Order: sequence, then C-alpha cells, then structure tokens
Amino acid sequence: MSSREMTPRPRSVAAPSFDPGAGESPWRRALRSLFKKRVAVLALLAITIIYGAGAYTFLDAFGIPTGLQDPTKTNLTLRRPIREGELLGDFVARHGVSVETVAQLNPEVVDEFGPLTEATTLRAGTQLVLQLDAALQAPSSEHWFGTDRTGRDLFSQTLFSARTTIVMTIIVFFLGSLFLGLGLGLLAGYAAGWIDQVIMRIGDVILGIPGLLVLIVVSSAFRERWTDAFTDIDTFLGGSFFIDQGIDHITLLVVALTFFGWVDTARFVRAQTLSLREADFILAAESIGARTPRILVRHLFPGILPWIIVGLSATFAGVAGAEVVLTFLGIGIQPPTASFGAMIADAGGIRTFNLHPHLLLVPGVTVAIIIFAFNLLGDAVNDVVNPRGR
Amino acid sequence: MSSSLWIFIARRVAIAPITLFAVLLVTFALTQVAPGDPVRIITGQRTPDPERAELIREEFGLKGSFPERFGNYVVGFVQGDLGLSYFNRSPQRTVQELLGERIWVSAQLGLISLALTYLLGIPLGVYAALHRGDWKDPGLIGGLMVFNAVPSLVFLPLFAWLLVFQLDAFFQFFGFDIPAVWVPGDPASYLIPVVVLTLPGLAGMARFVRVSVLTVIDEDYVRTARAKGLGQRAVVYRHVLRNALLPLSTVMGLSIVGVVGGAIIVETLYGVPGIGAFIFQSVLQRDFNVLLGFTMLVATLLVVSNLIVDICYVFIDPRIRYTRRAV
Repeated sequence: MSSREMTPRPRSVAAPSFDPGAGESPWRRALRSLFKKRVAVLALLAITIIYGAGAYTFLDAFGIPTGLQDPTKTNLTLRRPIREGELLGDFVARHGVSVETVAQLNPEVVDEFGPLTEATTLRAGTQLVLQLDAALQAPSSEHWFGTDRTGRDLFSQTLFSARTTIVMTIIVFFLGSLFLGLGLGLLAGYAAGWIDQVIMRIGDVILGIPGLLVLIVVSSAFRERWTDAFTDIDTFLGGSFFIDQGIDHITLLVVALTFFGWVDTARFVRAQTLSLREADFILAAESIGARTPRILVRHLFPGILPWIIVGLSATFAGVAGAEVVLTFLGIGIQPPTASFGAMIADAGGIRTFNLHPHLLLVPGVTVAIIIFAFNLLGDAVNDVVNPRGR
Repeated sequence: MSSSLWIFIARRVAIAPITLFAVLLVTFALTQVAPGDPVRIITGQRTPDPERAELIREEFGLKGSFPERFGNYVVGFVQGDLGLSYFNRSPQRTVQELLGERIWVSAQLGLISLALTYLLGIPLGVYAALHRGDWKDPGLIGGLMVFNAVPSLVFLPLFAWLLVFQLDAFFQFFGFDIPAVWVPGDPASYLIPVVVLTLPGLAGMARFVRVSVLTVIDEDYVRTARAKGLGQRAVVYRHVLRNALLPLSTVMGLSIVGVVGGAIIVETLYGVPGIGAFIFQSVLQRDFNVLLGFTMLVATLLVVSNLIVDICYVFIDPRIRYTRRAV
C-alpha cells in the first residue's frame, strides 16, 4: 500500500519503475545507496556521536548522575564581588567555597585585612578570586578537554553546548522547515491564486531584509520582554526551571531564526508542488473526489519529502553556525547557559591561543565538525534523490 | 529591442523602492517596539530628569505618533539623513557621518574579497567540473567546504596565529611583517582580514560554478563542438564557459550578504576601524539609529545590485523570458 503510493515520484525515484529491483520500496533503495557512500556514513557517524553526547546531558535533568560538571552550576566568573555589609561567612556560604580557599587564592586581601575568618567584613565590592587552582589546565586524563579560565571542565561544557545546539536545531527544523516552510509552500503551490501571491510576497520581503541585522534588532528589542514572560511563567508554576535552563534565550533565538528560515524551504516546496500538481496521479486523485488536505498529505507530500531531508541538513548546519555568530555578538544564548558561541568568545585572541590552544580548538573543531558533517550529508542525500546533478 | 523588454525593466526599477520601503517599515517598527524608552538608552539613566527627557525627545524626533515618526524618518532617509547616534553625543554625530567615515576601509576589504571570490571560485569550480568522477573533484570541493564549515570566529585567530607566530620568519624574509592587529596604513595588515573574508565564500562559489558547468557540458552543442574536432581548451572557453557563467550574476547578492556578515566578525576580531566593528559596538550599546541606518545601507546595496544584475541579464541572455515571471 505505502509503496504503491510512493512510486509515482518522477524525480525522486532513483531508478525507473521497470527496473528489475522494483520490488524494493524507493525508500529502502534510497537508503541503501546512501549507505554505500562512505562520506555519508562518516558524516552520519559524526552527527550521531555529537548529538548522542549532547543528549547524554539530559540524563542530568532526570537525576541520573552523568559524571559531568554542569557549567551553569559551577563558578561562573573568575572574580566574585562582596555585597555591601556582607560577612565573609555569608559570601563563602553563597558560593560554596571554604574560607581557607579564599585566603589561599587572595593573598592581597589577607595582606590588607589580616587572617580571614567567617566574621570578617570586607569592603563592599571587593573582588575575590575563587577556584583558580583548576583554571586553564591543558587536556589531561582528569579533564579530557582541559579547563577554561575559570576552572570549568571543557569536556562537560562541550557536551552541554552540544545540547543547546541540538535543542535549537531541532526546534528550528520543526517550526521553520516543517511547519512554516513545508506547510506554506504546499499551500502556496497547490492553492495558487491570491493565497500563493500573499505568501510569496511576504517571503520576498523577508528575503530582502538583511537577516543578521534584523536578528540583531529583534533580539535586542524583545529580549527583556521575552525574559519577563518566562519569569512570569516560572512564578506561576512556582519554580525557576525556564530561567535556570536559559529557555527564554534559546526560544527567542529559535523564533528569530525560524522567522527567516522558512522562506527558502517554502519557495522550494512551492516550485516542486507546482511541477507535481499537474501530474496524472494528482488528477486521478482529484477525479475520484479526494479533498485538498488528503491530496496534500497523501499524494504531494511524499514527492517532496526527499528535498525536505536535503533542506534539513542545510537548516541544521545553518542554525549551528548562526548560534556561534549571534552568541558572540551578545544577542544569542546568554550565560550561564553553555553554548559553542560562548565558549569561542571566551577563548580570547591569538595571544591566548598561543598559550592555551585548547580553549579555542575544542569548541571550534566541534562546531566545524557539526557543520561540515551536515553539509556532506546534505550533498550525499541530494545525490541519491537527484542523480542528474552528479 | 521590443517594448515588452522595456516594460520589464521599468517594472523592475519600480519594484526596487517598494522593496526598500517594506524593509524600512519592518525594521523601523522593530526598533520602535523595543522595550524601554530610547531616552533611557541615550541618557544611560533609569529615571531621567523629565525636563531633559523632553529635550532629548525633541532632539531625536521621538515625539508624535508612529506614522508621523516613520514619515519623518522616510523623508530624512530619502534626503540622506539617517538620524542621530544615541551614543556619540559629544559632539553629537549623525549616523551618516559615523558610517561615512568608516565605510572606506570596509569597502576596500569587501571589494577585494568579492573580487577574489570570483577570480578564484570560477577557475576552481570549472576545474572540479572537468574532473568529475575523479578524486580531484570531491577532493577540491570537500577541501573548500572545510573552510566553509569553520566559523570565521575560529578561523581568524587560527590563521593569524599561524602567520604571526609560526610563519613570521618566512614573511620577514620577504620584507613583510604581518601584524597581529590592524595597523592603519600598513598594506601587510590587509592579508589576514581579506583571506578570512574570502575563504568561507569560496566553497559556495566553486560549487555553484561546478554545477553550472556540469549542466552545460552535456548539452548537444558542446558535443557538436567536440565532434567537429575542437580541442578541450577551445570547447571549454568558447562553448562551455560562455553559457555556464551566465547564472553567476544571480549569486552576486548572496556574496555581498556573506561579505557584510563576515565583516562584522573579522573587523571586530582584527581591530579594523570599519563599519563592521562599529556595528558590533552599536549592537552592544543598542544604538538603534545606527543599526537602522546600517540595515538600510545594506538593503539598498542589495536591492541596487540585484536590480543591475536583473537588467544586465536581459541583455546578456537572449533566451530569458521577460514578459512573464518564470515559475
């Protein structure tokens, strides 16, 4: 049944239907020729490893110990200021360190105030260094990827950053490519007329806007309101889950990227729909009285699916790259949520790189692998479903 | 020249300002719904003195309804007035002044990089297409895609480190001293930003040319040319390239967007005193007037270059159907 419905796809079928192997469903045939490509297999493997590693951090949320250091709960800055009138005992309790550590790491404070006790009152705003002992370590058996300048484990940070990228890419894909792109593209191509005109003209305007700049304006314009809304939700639910997890910043970025991400998919789907809708099998379906939604879902959608998969790779690679740039510009993921952009921004310039290359190489290579793998995979899938381009 | 061709051109020319207007409307509306009073951003105070706030509203044209303010901005924009900067206030600078004094260095870097993208991308793409089925094709394109995958944020420090710390002796031997940050007036400091701006876009250009050549190379007239005994060189130059390079003009806009986006990162990291670095700073300061002005500058650049490309295309390609919008 399903294989019969999928056969009439003139462009996507890898071989014509009189092929001796025609008993096999086109999907299995496509998958088989995809797995024959070494590049595609390697790319899939890299993606699986990185996405699996990122997904592993979700265990944390269910209370299963992962052995990772949650970057959002570890010392965030090198220096922490003392609040006005705060006792050192309160400060120490607030940051979960011992007075001895503070004394060890801040000799100049000891010089000024004498031996430190819990009752010591320091000048308001005094900056204390915490846990410097673990900072800027090169990769070792204890810290596989080394530590950053505040002593956080870079391996854990990489995994948590991968989690952020996973969440973003998947949501943008479902919202932007599938929901808006595919939905509006199918609608525009099949319904035609004024619906088509309206959708495509809106798309024209969005494409005419320099995307990066509007992302800048959108995210600086809405961020406060957006965060306020999530704080309200948190208060309503009686916790601080959304704010703690940085959901507000992630969703803002996702919505902004979605807004620009759907047009390309929609245009493409529309063009494909236009070429398919005159096909005989659509005419046949219409003549036996099938209604529009059924025709869209059962007859047009399967013909367009391969290109959605090609678009998926492009979307994932694009979102991963955009996250890095936008976070660096300060309008993407916000600290303390871990992200590759934040890790790269923390890595500093070329003099730091000369001394501590792992700071830049760890996030840089990971992001490059993600983007490269998705690009290769997209090319491979494209070759399989569209053999003429080879 | 038939009259329908002129109608096509006239329609294109008429659409350009409409697109620009729509972009302006959307971007302007976005900056207006930003939370918090612009007065707060300008004064840097949470509760500014009401009298002073009134003066600032007057000065920045923040009074009146949305249509009024938008109308004023449009009138100013047409006359080349992009408003006042929120931050450069002593002395008060206009956005067009601030952008104007930084555009030269950015334009230099951008144009060199655009030229290099075309000069290197076309031969590389043709080379890859002619070696289809060989290891050289996937090898070359794959290698270029690596540069495309590495974010400029990572690539610039890596490349600069390589040149400044590892290959310094090599460059000094030839009398160059590649600086670690931009040095005004030093031609050697162009090298790093230009390379980092160019390399990521090269993969896209080469792939576009490759596909374009491949679609032409199996055409009948190419086979005819080969059949009548023309050499490889003559076939490629006279028959394949002429037709394969036609669609190239359409990716001009894409290349411009890539270079402008890259400039923000590259100029910031390398300390180039251009528009890109200035925009980064304005993002951090939320200088919305500067961002709005810059958005319109880039949008105008895009619309105008697309317009020129469209019109040139009609004259270059006799097959183009200009009477009806192609599906």
